[in-house]
Parts: sequence; structure tokens; C-alpha cells
Amino acid sequence: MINTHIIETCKKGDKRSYALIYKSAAPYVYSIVRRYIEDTEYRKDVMQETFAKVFLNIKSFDDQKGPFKGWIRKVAVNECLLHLRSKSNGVLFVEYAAEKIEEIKDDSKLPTDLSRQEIESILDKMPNGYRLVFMLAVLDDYSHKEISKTLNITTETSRSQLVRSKRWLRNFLNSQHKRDMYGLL
Amino acid sequence: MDYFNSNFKDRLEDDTQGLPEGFAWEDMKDGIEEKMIAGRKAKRNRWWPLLLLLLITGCGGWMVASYFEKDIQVVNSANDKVYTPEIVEALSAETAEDKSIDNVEAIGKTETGTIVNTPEKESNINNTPKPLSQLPVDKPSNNTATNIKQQDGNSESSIEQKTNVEANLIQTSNKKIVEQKTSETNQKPKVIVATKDIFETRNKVSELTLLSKPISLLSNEFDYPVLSIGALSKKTIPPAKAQLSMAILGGANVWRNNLESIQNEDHLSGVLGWSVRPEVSLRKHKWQFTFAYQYDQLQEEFAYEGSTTVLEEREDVVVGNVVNSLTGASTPILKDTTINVTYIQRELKYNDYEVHHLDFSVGRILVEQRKHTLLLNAGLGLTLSFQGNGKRLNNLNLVDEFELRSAVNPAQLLSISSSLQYSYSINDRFSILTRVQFRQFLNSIALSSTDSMRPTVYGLNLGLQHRF
Repeated sequence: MINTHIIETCKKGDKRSYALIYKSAAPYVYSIVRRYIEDTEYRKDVMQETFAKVFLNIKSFDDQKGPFKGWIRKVAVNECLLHLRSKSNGVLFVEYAAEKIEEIKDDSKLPTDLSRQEIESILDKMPNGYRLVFMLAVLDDYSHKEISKTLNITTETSRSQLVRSKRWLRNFLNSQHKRDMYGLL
Repeated sequence: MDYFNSNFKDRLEDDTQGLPEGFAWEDMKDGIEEKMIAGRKAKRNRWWPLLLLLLITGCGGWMVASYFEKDIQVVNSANDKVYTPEIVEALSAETAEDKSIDNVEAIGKTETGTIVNTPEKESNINNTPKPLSQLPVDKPSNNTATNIKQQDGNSESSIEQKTNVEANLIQTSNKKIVEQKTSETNQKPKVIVATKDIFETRNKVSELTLLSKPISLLSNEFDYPVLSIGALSKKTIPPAKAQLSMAILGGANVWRNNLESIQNEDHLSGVLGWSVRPEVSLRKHKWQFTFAYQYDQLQEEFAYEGSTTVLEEREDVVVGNVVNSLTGASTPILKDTTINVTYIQRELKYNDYEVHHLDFSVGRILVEQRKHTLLLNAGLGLTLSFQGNGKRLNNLNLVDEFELRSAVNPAQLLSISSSLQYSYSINDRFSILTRVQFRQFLNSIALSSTDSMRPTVYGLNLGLQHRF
């Protein structure tokens, strides 16, 4: 993605390297921002905030501790959550009493050839309460403990929401598959 | 591998779309630069809680140190024991001269005389503790007595002199020291009140609590320093669950008594003591309920004053005047003689008190910003035990210890307390605390029904808090 030389020059304050980093990382960051921020008007603002923080704090990045891609993803996700929180009066997730739901892991009939556009379209249709936990847990590698802290919910709620979101996805994909197969609406 | 990992996550990772129109570097760089400038400002503003901590610590330290410094000054003066023979000598010579003129003139005209010294020594130790206000100050030296006995012819003239000189000058100087001390200690301590502006930033700053959560995840995972955050004007969401924590604090304290009868020159009020305080707190939203046990070691200081009169031999003491009846001129009679000298001795003694409290208080979080929290606390305290030991001078000028049981109310005292606390989170579990504390006793600690002694205690504490 970005070689260490550019990162080192950026750490030294070379503004030319800002452009190089942006051009290399912006598509990846945008794909993250797009997932979280539905309103296209705010995506630009969140992108700018993300890169401003990347450049301001790049000195704290240590490639021994992890790849730059993972670091910039965290910054981008954090920025998206901040934005969502500010737009939702601080409440990202309304917690209900967590109930234990067992996960059914029969994924044999689910499609394996989904394109990026299809995935993003499915995620857009997913209920908000499921989508956020699903994206954090599956797509952005947050642990349940991290999710519970981020969304201010219990880890049990995070787990149950993830199971629900996967169940919803399975149902959706199955019904989609049936529609594709039998031409049903 | 999980279906969603391989078909959702990996697919999105591998296939990132291009940037839409308006997201090119040329379109974005100005906005990024503006946000970087704002971020730098926010980073700078992040330091104000530390400045506030320094202010609180500094004010508390100054408060304690100001008491401590005054005590040191007086202790030093007391340790000098006020033995100043030069002053005594000068004073005695001056006094003897004044008195001897009158005496000689009253007796008659004498040309010469032989003075016979009568060695006499007596020591009078009076060490009963009493306030300086009860001692004579600048009173005339009426104990001076000069007797001149004249014998016939070439007879030798015998003058027995017995001079008692009170070292009024010493006493006066001591008085001044104590008066100065008393006037200083009588000043009410200044209460530092946080300004409105500081608290008005609360809403803005509180948003940073939320902001810190994802950021802290970042720093946990990669151990990066926290990222700068722009100030947003949103309200924070308090923790949904009640959070239990435990803390241990310790620090210095001083106290003042309100009883006017002991706020005279001999009572020098509180000196530096110490306290230790384990406590358990339950936090719900912005409120914190605290139950604590507190042990206080309080000290107070008294200036005990004793006088000692000794007979000392002095050279060339003016023992009388000889007046020429023809010319009227007077000639002083100088002799080596023995005079009584009274020394005033001051000693500072401490009374120690051991106090055990149980406190219940309610706190309100005023500011919460990432790792920094400012908490205002108020509560009620029940004093389980208030015991003390005193020290005083005995007749041999030695220190005696005695129990204050007979004078101090041993238990069941009520007090109100308030505190301002700043805490800094070291990590998810631990915080360091600094707290300025104030306690006002509601009942009298004195057993006497006539004396109402309701002391005020000020403390500066540092501590460590663990959140469960």
C-alpha cells in the first residue's frame, strides 16, 4: 500500500509526502467511510478529518507494531463513529436486554460470488442496529470488548447483535438466492 | 473460515473502489490543512486540565506550607529559649541607675562607701502554663531595692543590694512575635473557587469522553499515543452501568479551632498533620457516591511560658549615686555585685489528636475529558473517635505527656465535608487522584459544656484509584 520511506518522510514533516500517502490510501479509506456514512455530503468531511489525524499523528505510527493499513483503518473507523455519534445526539446504539441466541452455522447454500457492489448494497439494507456491530466485528476486526466500549453496550449485547446480524444476512441471502433461482420478487 | 470473513471482509479488502469526483488530493488538501490546524489547537487545549491540577496542588501546597512556615518561625524563636543576658544586663544597669538615684538622695549625702556583696542565690521556677496575655507586659520594675548602710568614721559602708529585674524587654519582644503569629493565623484561609468559564467548557469537553473511546482502542491495540481530537459541542453519554471503584488517599492536613478563648497568644492553632483514607465509590452517570474511612493525625501547638529567677554576679553595676551637697553633682557608684535576674522562657508544645471518621459523600463530575476528570464532592461525616495526647512543661522544665481524655469529646461527632478532586486515568483500571478537602465539625470536640470547640480541617491528598 504505502512504503515505509514515504511514511518516514511524512514523519519528518515533508508535505509532499502527504499527497503521496493520500493518493495511495484514500481509496481504501473511502471504502471504509462509505460503509459507515450513508450521507454522501458528510463523507468528504470525514475523509478530511481522517487524513488530518493521520498526518498529525503519523509520528506515533510504528510499523513494528502493525501494518499502516490496519492503523489507518482504525483511524478512519474511529472518525466515522465520531461523526455518527455527533449526528445522533451521542447515541449510537440503543441497548435492549440481551438474550442468548444460538448461531446456526449452515452457510453451504449461501452465495460465494458476491461483488463489492452487491455486498455494499446488502449492507445498506441491513438494519442499523445489526449493521454497526457486524461491520465493526467482521469487517473491521473489533473484538466484542472493543465494540462494547465503543458503542457503550455490554459484550453480551454485542455478541447477540452479531449473531442476529449474521442470521439476518443468511435469511436475506437465502431469499435473494431463491429469487434469483425462481424469479420471485 | 467463517463465511462472512471470506465472502464479505476479504472481498471488500481486495476490491476497493476508486475515489468519486471531488475527492482528489487537490480538492481535499485545503480542507485537510484546515483540520490539521484545528487539531493542533485542540492538542494544545488538552493541557489545561494539567494546568488546573498544578493550580489545585499549588494552592493546596501553599495553604499547607504557609501554616508550616509560620510554625517553623515560632519554633525557632522558642528554641532560642530567649536567654539574652546582654539585654538583661543593659536593662538591669539602666534600672539600677534610675532607682539608685532616688534611694541615695533619700538616705542623705554620702561621700564614699564600701559595698559588701552578700552572696545570695535563689531560684524561682514558675512553669505554670499561662497565656502571655495574663503576664505583665511593660510593667515598671518595682522589685528593685537598693539598700545602702552607712557605718561610722572610716567604717566600711555596706550596701546590700538586692535587685530583681524582670526582663520586660524580652517579654515584650516575645509578645510581638506571638502577636504577629496570631494575627497571621487568624486570617481566614482563602477558598479557591473555580471560575465559571472553566465549568462552562464542560459540555464541550465532555464530548471528548466519547471521542476517546475509539481512539483508546487504537492506542490499546497498537500502543500508540492517543490522537488529537477536535472540540465538538455535543453532550456525552454517561456510562450505562454503575461503576464500582476503590481508592486509597493520603496527605497532609492542618486544622483550626474556632474557640476564641484558646485563640490567644499561647495557642498557635493547627500545625501540619497527616491523614490516610481508603474509600469505595459507586459511579452512576455523572454522579459518584462514596463511602470512606478516614484516619487523621491532627496536631495543635501551644506556647508555654515559664520564668526563672536566678542570682547572678555582675561587674560594674551602678548600685547608687553619691550627690555632692555643695555642687549638686551626682557620681554613680559602680560595684561588682549580685543581682537577681528573671529569665522568661518560652517553649512550644504539641498536642496530638488521633481521629477516626466514617464519611458518606455525593460527588458530581464537573469535567470529564478523556483521561482527566474533575469532581466536586460534598458529604456528611461521623467521627468515631477523637483522642489526643498533650505535652507540657513540668516544674523542672521537662516535657510531660498527658492524656486529653478528660477534655476531648471521645466520639459521635458530626461533620460536613467537601472536596475538589482531579483524577488522571493511567489506564482502563487505574487513576491517580489529587484532592483538596475541607471538613467542618458540627459538634464541639470539647467535653466542657461551656466551651464550643468546632475545628475546621483542611487537607491536601494524593491517591490511587482502581476501577472494577
